[in-house]
Amino acid sequence: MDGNSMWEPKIVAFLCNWCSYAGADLAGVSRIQYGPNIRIIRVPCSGRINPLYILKAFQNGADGVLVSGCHPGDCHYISGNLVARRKFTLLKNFLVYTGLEPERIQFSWVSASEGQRFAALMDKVIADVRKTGPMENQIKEPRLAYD
Amino acid sequence: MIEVQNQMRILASDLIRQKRVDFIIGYEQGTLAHTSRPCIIDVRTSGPEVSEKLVWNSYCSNNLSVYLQKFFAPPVQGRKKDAAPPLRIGLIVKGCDLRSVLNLIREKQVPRENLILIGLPCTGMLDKKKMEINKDELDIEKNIQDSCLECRFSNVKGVDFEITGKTREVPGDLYEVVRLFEARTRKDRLAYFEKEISRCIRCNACRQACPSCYCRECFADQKDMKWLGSGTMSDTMIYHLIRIFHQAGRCAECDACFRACPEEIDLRTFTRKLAKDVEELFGFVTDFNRESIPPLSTFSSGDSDSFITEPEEGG
Ligand code: SF4
Ligand code: SF4
Ligand code: FES
Repeated sequence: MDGNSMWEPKIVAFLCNWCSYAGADLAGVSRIQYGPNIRIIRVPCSGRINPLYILKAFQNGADGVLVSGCHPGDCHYISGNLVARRKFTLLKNFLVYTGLEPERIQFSWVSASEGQRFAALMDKVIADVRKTGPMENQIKEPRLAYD
Repeated sequence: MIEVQNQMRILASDLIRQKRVDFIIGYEQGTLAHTSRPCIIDVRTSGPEVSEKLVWNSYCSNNLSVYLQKFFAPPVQGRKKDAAPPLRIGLIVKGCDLRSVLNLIREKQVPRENLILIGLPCTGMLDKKKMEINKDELDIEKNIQDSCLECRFSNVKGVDFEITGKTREVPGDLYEVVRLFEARTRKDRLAYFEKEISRCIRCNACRQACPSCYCRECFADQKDMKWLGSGTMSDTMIYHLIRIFHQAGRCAECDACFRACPEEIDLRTFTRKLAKDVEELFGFVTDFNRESIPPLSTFSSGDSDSFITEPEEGG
């Protein structure tokens, strides 16, 4: 990291209560090791996630955001993740279009029985974000005078 | 155009005479030459001769549907059933206005039965900013709004009264601006986006001008604003990303936001991206079909999973 070896990626993970959070729980209970860079936020369902939360996470210093819900068809609320899937597709495309690195915003499906998959996913996301580096300072404000 | 204008006036005066509307929303001559401005005429208190006020020319760029929702919004206080009966509105629409109106109808903001839509053929509207630069009033193609260059809906359909006339031809490449932008490097795109919004003064005019932005409580009015930004994304950036994202599958490409912006920020490049994605991924276009379901209110089990991250060694 260009001499900045102290830097550790901070990743915010939004996990749905019924599958992915339980998957994370299982990973913990089964003592599967994964990187400590994840801050988990539990939400009722991946459909509950407002794109604003994701941007707020970046604003408050996250280097990457992961959103995970139940596999399509398994949502506790039947179709929450299917509605969310459309939203996330558009959001990811749009953020990448405006210049965000695609590695910083990732989506996945993890079920309650997939502790192993959860740990592997975390390691992958952490590695991706680490490779991408710290979130660059995107602020070019305030503009003090008219140019 | 004069012919269309005359027909529009005759239609409007008929509607007033038959007492079929309470208000007429259209365009009138602006205070300066070569300008038109929206006018809202209360015809309950005036005679059919007010229809002479209405004009139709290449300066009628405003999207009139932005006024509609306020006529039908539920009362802030008191019970809904005590409210006065909804008014009947006669609205002059061109292609983009009609698409916005249908959007409001789909989203149940405006009752179709209270509207009388008068559809006009549109040959494209002139861009004031371009006219100032080119100083050539007469060269229509040179001074036309960018949004009109990519418009394929100048020929309105499904209105109550349709006036026919010359319209624009459907252009070849509808999303050229998006494709060009996508081809640039990531750093370049970010730099452009930042450069554009660094001029933003957060006047919220783009939101106010937009007919699809009708929420009474907008995320942009939240209390924990970070105007200067304490982290890596400024509030202005978030405002723009979310405002534009909220237009997914709803934007009528009327360019009202761009026209309203005092800083001439290029919002089109970004609103168009969502329109393109929605069309390519979900096959949805904000067209003249009243029955279609907005793409983010529904789903299909066949939607693509290609953006999903798979961990390398599986679970
Ligand atoms: S986002 Fe802009 S172009 Fe789209 S409907 Fe709103 S005002 Fe019109
Ligand atoms: S109208 Fe322009 S300056 Fe005002 S908030 Fe919108 S983009 Fe910013
Ligand atoms: S409950 Fe897990 S995605 Fe809806």
